[in-house]
Amino acid sequence: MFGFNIWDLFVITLYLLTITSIGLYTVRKIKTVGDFVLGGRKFGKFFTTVRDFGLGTSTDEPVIVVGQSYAIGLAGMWYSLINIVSTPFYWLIRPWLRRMRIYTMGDFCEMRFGSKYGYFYSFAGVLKSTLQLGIVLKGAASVVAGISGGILPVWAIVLVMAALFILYGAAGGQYAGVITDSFQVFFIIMLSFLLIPFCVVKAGGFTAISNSLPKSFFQLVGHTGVSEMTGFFVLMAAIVNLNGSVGNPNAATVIGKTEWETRIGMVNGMILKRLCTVAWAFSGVFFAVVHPGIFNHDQVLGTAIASIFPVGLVGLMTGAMMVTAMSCCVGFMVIAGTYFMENFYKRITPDKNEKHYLLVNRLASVGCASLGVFFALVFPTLVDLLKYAWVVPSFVGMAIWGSLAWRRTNRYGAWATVIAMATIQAVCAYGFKLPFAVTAVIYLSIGYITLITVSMLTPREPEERLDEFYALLHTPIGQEDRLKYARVKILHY
Amino acid sequence: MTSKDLETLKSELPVLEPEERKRRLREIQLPLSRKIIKHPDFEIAWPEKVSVIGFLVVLAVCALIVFGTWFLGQLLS
Repeated sequence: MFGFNIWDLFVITLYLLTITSIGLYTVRKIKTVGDFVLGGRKFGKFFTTVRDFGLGTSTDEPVIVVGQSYAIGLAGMWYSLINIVSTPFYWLIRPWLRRMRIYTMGDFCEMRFGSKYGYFYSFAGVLKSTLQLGIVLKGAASVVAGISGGILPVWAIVLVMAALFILYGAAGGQYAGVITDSFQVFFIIMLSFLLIPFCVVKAGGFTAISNSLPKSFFQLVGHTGVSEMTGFFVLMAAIVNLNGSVGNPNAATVIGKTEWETRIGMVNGMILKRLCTVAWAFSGVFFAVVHPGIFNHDQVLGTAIASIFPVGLVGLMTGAMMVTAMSCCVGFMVIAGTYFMENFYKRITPDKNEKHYLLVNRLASVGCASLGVFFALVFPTLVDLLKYAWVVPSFVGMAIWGSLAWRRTNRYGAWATVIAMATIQAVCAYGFKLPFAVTAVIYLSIGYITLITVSMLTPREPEERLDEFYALLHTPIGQEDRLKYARVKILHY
Repeated sequence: MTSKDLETLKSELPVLEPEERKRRLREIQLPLSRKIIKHPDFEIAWPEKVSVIGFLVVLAVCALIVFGTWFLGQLLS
């Protein structure tokens, strides 16, 4: 039925309904906007680990990595593993962002660069989060479509998943995402590695795999003219991602109780994700021996699951992947809705009560989720979407990095950097059709020069604003009495 | 932090005179001696021991993941 064995369909339905019910159950815990947006920041190391792993590990990435590794070899892992360069920096950055005591990076930008830049960032934050939601949905739907042998259309799967995650996401918010992630994180890890032994057995062992594939399939980087994933591409994509790591709209989604939980959760979650990424890459390479000749690379993972796993396990894998994507989508829909509520709606109607803002946040999240569903239905391929997701945060990330370290970084520098980088990137990538890595060198260099030059040549930010900002940044969580002593405004403890 | 502490922190305090507020804001700033670059425009503090050790450990784990993958690739090629 629908391209699935009846038992697989039963397992998928059971899995989806169980997780949706758990998500709906968490509605009892949601009393304030803070509960909805960040689960009240009550979580310890385990929950922060599973949430950061869950929010960072969506179905689109295994789809891309397995698909690209199937096509070009192990080098395909860089489509996700590129962020490994940023991973050690998370250990340093996360406590800083927790200390800002904010819900969104829009708040950060407003504090540092004024309200206009805050609005701009918040608008971009809504767009980026919904785009990311679209990527995740599209990725999961492509896998399920592949598993069903193309019988289930991608749009129908997108709509079913959207209906379920919007339902429990609007009820339980980020809290629901954390709890559902904690139920299924073990499935995600287990299933990430499970394709490998099945593929090896089907392929006839490691020797058969080694003899069937060209040597280039086992290299970590490709060569110019053969594959896009050259050493230069990897290096530049890593720098672009490091620049964008603080520019991502979800950078302020910090749910840990203290700085310690926050940094442990993020780093553990990301290392787990990197290990899973390596497993996806090997799965893709090995499946190229088992089942060569798939031209739509977004459907390789789906085909692998359908053709290799026994009945029951196909359903479990499909269900786990759908729920992973849904949980991630909940995160993005809540983040996007929070940008709307916190950085736009609250500015227009500042005197409403907590209940009112909670309702608006829920409605805004549903609206943003619908926009993400639209993106999932109209964009052509996942790799196209992923490159947009890499590039855009780096435009704003540069000024945020600068603002953390250098007092002279100002709103003029931030605006000029975004305009210069976006223009140069568009001209190089779409006008001159330069390769990604060359484009990155040009627009990143111009971005740094613009930020420093414009910030030096234009008026400084008011000293009092800077003093408040750096007081927040340098005051550890738990020492809020110092901030109170100097009457520093704390947005959200 | 208990919810009682949080309520205490959230409670309104009397507004300060601008000069007094400025003084207190300066008082809680990072001292120049704790900055990596001893210049008033730079705000990078010397990291705590836990930050340095943690950073190096995570860096080593990441390097191990990449090296391990490369090594497995070599074994298979």
